[in-house]
Amino acid sequence: MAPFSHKTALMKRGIHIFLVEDDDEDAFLIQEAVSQISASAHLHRLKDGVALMERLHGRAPKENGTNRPDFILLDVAMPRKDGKQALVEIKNHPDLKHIPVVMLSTSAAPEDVKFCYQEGANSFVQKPKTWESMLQLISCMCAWWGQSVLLP
Amino acid sequence: MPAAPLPAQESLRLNTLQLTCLLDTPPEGEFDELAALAADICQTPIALVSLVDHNRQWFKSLIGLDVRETHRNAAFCAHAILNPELLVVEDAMTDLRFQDNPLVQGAPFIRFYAGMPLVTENGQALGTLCVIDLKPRALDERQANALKTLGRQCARLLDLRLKMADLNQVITQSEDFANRLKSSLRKLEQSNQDLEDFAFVASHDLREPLRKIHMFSDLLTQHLGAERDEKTMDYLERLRAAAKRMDMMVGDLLDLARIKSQGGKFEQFSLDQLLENLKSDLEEDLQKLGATLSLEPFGHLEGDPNQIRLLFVNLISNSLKYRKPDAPPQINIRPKSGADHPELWLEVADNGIGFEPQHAETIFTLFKRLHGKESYEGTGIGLALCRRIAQRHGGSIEAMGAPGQGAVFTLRLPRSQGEET
Repeated sequence: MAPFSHKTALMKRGIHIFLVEDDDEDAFLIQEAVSQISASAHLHRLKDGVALMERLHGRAPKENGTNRPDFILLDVAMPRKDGKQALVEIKNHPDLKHIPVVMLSTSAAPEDVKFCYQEGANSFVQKPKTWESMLQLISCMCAWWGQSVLLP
Repeated sequence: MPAAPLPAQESLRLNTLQLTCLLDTPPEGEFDELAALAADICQTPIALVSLVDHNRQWFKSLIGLDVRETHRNAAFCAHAILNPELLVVEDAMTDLRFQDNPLVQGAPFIRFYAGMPLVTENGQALGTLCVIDLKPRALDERQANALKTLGRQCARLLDLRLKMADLNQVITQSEDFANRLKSSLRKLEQSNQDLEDFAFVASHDLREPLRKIHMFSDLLTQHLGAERDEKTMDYLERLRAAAKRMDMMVGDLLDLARIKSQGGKFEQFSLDQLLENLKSDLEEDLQKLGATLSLEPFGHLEGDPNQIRLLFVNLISNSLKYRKPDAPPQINIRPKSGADHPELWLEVADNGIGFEPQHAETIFTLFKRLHGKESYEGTGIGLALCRRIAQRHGGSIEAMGAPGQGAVFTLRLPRSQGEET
């Protein structure tokens, strides 16, 4: 099999991704993967569900001038407000529910997967175990949500 | 007035009296009837069932008297219990033992006394059945015999009370024992549950840092680019291999913890169908090794089909892994009990390298390996998982084998499950 080229997804425009992740190493790795894949993708890291909701409601300072990302990468297990609670709030809010939400989880417990799709998650992915698969995942997500699909 | 001497085994006697649980209890018909009959036959105005306590005599039954107890020093009965025979005092005024007794000198002015000691099976005279008159008199032979018989009947009533007390004690003890057992069982269940929860959480959280060790060693490899040399790559490879091995072990622990905590519902399914499907899924692996897997009909089973499948996958993998290098593996899964037997009993037999019989139990121990990890891959969880699954279904699994003679695993599973606990 030919090696997957992570640079195939050429971004036509700059895209904004909110990464909601309490773990610094995971956030670092995702940030690293995004910066290796695309210069036009901007990753905004938020520490938990509370920080995310404040940002989406415009009560937190804007970086790079947006509080409406192209999509959200939302970790399932977090302190204060976890990914599932934040997901439910977003998908029940008339001004927010159109934003694609991709759930990230280490364990991918079947009951979590089911819950998140039932509550309107747009994807549910398990955190990659190798750097190669991390690059592939981030590349696919940027290409899909940043280029292939039409968003409102 | 000479007080009666104490009987020979006074403390045993008092102890026995306590055990009857009669002292200071309300009157009861069965004693009252015996006293009434004694008074009637002996033609006396007074009849008593008297129990001789430490310092008093207390009347369980009394006809013609309205004192419930008197001091032991004044008691005729304290004398009567010294001998197993009927004591007759025809005229207290002429008897040195009683002539200055307060009950003779004062009310009720006793003159005549006849008391039959109540001797229990352990030889203790606890009291008497006695008749009393206020004028001197005698008993004829018929009356004396009747009083003796009634006394013996009254003693049997006391024996009955002692047996009831014994029985009550046994019941109380066994209830107490059952309660303690129940409470220990509850504690044990709780600590098992805690342990499983711990294993689940620990294994889950332990995997996170491992995943990162992997990622960063990948990232480091990438970062080194052209600068990487053979030695650096070797170190990195060893780092990855160690992390991978630990990840596998933690993953296995998680699987083991899930058998109980995340097990599926029990349902009826065809074991034959399950094994056929399994065989066709494993077809490629079997062909590669030139292995044969023979199945026989087993009928239906109630259980968690995913776990039962996992159990057989592990047993078959085990047989394939420990095959002889020079002979194609043969695995026979065959029934040992009839289809109508409430318990499914089957054997998984192979022609592999076998094992020393003294290892028949250790091979089910988690992470226990009989061979170095260089010779056989894996963490050593497969058989521990099999046993855990069998146990969750209320069954068991045992192994038999000899070096070079293959191994036989005997699996017992109830065909139907009651209420799952």
